[in-house]
Formats: sequence, structure tokens, C-alpha cells
Amino acid sequence: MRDSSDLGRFSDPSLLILSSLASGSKHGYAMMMDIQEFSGTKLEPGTLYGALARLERRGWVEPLPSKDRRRPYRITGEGMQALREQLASIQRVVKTGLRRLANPG
Amino acid sequence: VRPTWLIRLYPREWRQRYGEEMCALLGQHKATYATFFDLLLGALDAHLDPQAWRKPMSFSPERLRKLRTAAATPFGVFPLFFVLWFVISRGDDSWRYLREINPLASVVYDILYIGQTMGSELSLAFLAALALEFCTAAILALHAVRSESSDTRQSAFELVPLAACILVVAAALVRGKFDWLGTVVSLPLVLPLLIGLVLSKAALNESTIRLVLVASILVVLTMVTTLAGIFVLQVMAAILLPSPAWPLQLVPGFVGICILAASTLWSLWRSLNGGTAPSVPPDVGRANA
Repeated sequence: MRDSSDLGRFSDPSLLILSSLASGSKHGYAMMMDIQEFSGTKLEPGTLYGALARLERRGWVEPLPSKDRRRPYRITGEGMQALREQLASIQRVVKTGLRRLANPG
Repeated sequence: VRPTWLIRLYPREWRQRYGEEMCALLGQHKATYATFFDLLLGALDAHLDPQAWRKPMSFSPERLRKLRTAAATPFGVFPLFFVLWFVISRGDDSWRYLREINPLASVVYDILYIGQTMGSELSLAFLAALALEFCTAAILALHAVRSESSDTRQSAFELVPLAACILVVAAALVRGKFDWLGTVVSLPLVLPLLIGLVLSKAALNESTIRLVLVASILVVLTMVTTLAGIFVLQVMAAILLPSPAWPLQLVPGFVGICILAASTLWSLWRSLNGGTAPSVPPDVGRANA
């Protein structure tokens, strides 16, 4: 499993960014809008680019040629794999939590 | 008010890479107090995140070699200068006498000693910080070879030079009251850390190596101030005193410091001339690889 512990406080924004880019390449503002729409989380620019820089360094996202100052990003194959693993892990937590809520005690 | 000016708080390399697109984003984004705070936090994070702003060396190998020589020179020169100054200042009885009888000589004497002391302390603090920066770079390089380290751990390593700087400045303050103690505490901080310079062969970054120029200039300024003070005081002694003393160690010491200052200047001059290798924006290069 790909280790995302060193993403620190950017681990949650990173998951949101990867989820957003899973549906296609986007520039910063489009990512913010998309993330707000599907998760209700409003990412601010400093947090977005802090996470984006880390994801780029890990090779999980990559920049595309910029269009009128805005640079789109796309998720890489390794990023897809990391996202799958993280979502699977969250899914296990969700399943367990729901099961325990249904049968308390 | 658009908070685009806050992007100036980010490291230069960061701005070169992400500045334009962040400005474009802020042009569309409705800024709130949270945006200002977030950008401030982001800038702080970018400064504490060594991987974000450390870029690969873009100096040519020849220039790098000259810069490394220029970096090593003040480390070697400064202790020698310290010894020579110690030897010369043992025979300053006639200067002290001159100081008592002539107000102008008193001013020159004070400038010489204050300049020499402050210059030495500053040089010492800077060299210690620089040496620790080299050590940190070496540790980071070794660490990176062994394992992919966490950002938090690397940020902690970044604080080491700062801590060393504070330690040396504290030692310098103590030195004002206990002369021998300050010297005992601060000098050994510099010398063993020269090893860091040797170990950090492949790990230096440009911002660090540019600090070398500041260290060299500080050391040279200290030596020039000292030389000028010695020269003026001795000339005044020759003019004003009926039988001025010419201590045995004065001329060799003076010439020695001249040679040390000249060699530091020469290595500094050499390091300023040399080619640069074409540089590739590191993040884009890595991402496209």
C-alpha cells in the first residue's frame, strides 16, 4: 500500500484533489469548485497548492501545458492506484462503523 | 482587496513554479479572512518544507569547485587570523599609552578593538551557522539515500542551523563577561563542523552556497578593519611617541593577516567567475520524468 503519512495536514485535501482529478484534468479553480460540489469542503488556495505540490512531487499528479496562466493537472497511474487504496481503506472503516452502529453493545 | 501580494511571502522558487497560476486562481476566487490566513499558513509551510524550495544545483562543475574552495577558505583563514591577532595584541603597550595621551588615538584604539571584536563574533556566528547548514545538508543527503524521509523530519533538520546560530550568539554574549568561556564554547562549534563541508559534496543548494559570499565578506571586513586600525595606531605611535615600540611579532603578524585577507578575497573573486549549467524547474522535471 502506498504510504501517505508524510502528506501530514495535507492528507485530506490530497484525497479530495485526487478524487476530483479522477474524473479528468482540471486547473486549480475548477478543482476547488468541483471539490466543494461533491464534498461540501471549501479548499482555500494555500491549502490547495500546498497539497498539489506534494502530490506532484510524489508523482501522483502531473502538470499539463498551461492555458492563459491557468495550469491544468491530471492524475497519474500511480495516483489512481493510491486513490483506490485510500478509498478502499476508508470503505473498510465506513463498513465497520455502520455495522457497529447497527448492532451497538 | 485581492490577496495576490501574499504570494510574495512564498519562497522565490515556489513563486516561479506556482505563482502565476495561484494569481490566476485568486483572480477568480472570492477572498475572505480565511483566504488571507490560509495563504499565510501556506507561505510558512512552503518555507519549512525543504523539498519545496530546494532546487538542484545549476552551477557548472568548475564553478561549484571554486565555490567550495571559497566556502572552505574562511573556515581555514579565520582561526589563523584569530591566532595572529592574539599574538599582535599581546604587544600593544605603546598603543595603550598612546590612547591615554591622545584623544584621536583613543578613538582609533576603540574602533580597532570594537570592530575586531564585533567582526570576530559575527564571523564566528555566521561560520558556525554555515557549517551547521553544510552538516544539515550532509545529513539530509545521507538520510535521503537511506530512506524516503518524511517532510516533518526534514523540517526539523532545517531548524538545526537556526538553533546553532542562537547558541553561538548566546556564547558571544557570555563572552562579554567571561572571555575565556565564550571562546571555549564558540570556537569548537566551528572547527569540527568543517567535516560537514566535506560530507555535503552533492547536497549543497544554491541558496546555501551563496551564503558563503556573506561569510567571506564578513571575515575579510574584520581583517581589513583590524589591519587599518593596527596601521593607523602604529603610524601615530611613530609620530607622537619619542621612542615608539616595535614589538617583534608586529610586522610578521601584520603581513600574515594581509596574506590571509588577500587569499580570502582571491578565492572569493575566483568563485564569482564561472559558468552556470542550464537549470530545469525541478518539480516539472520530476513530474514529467
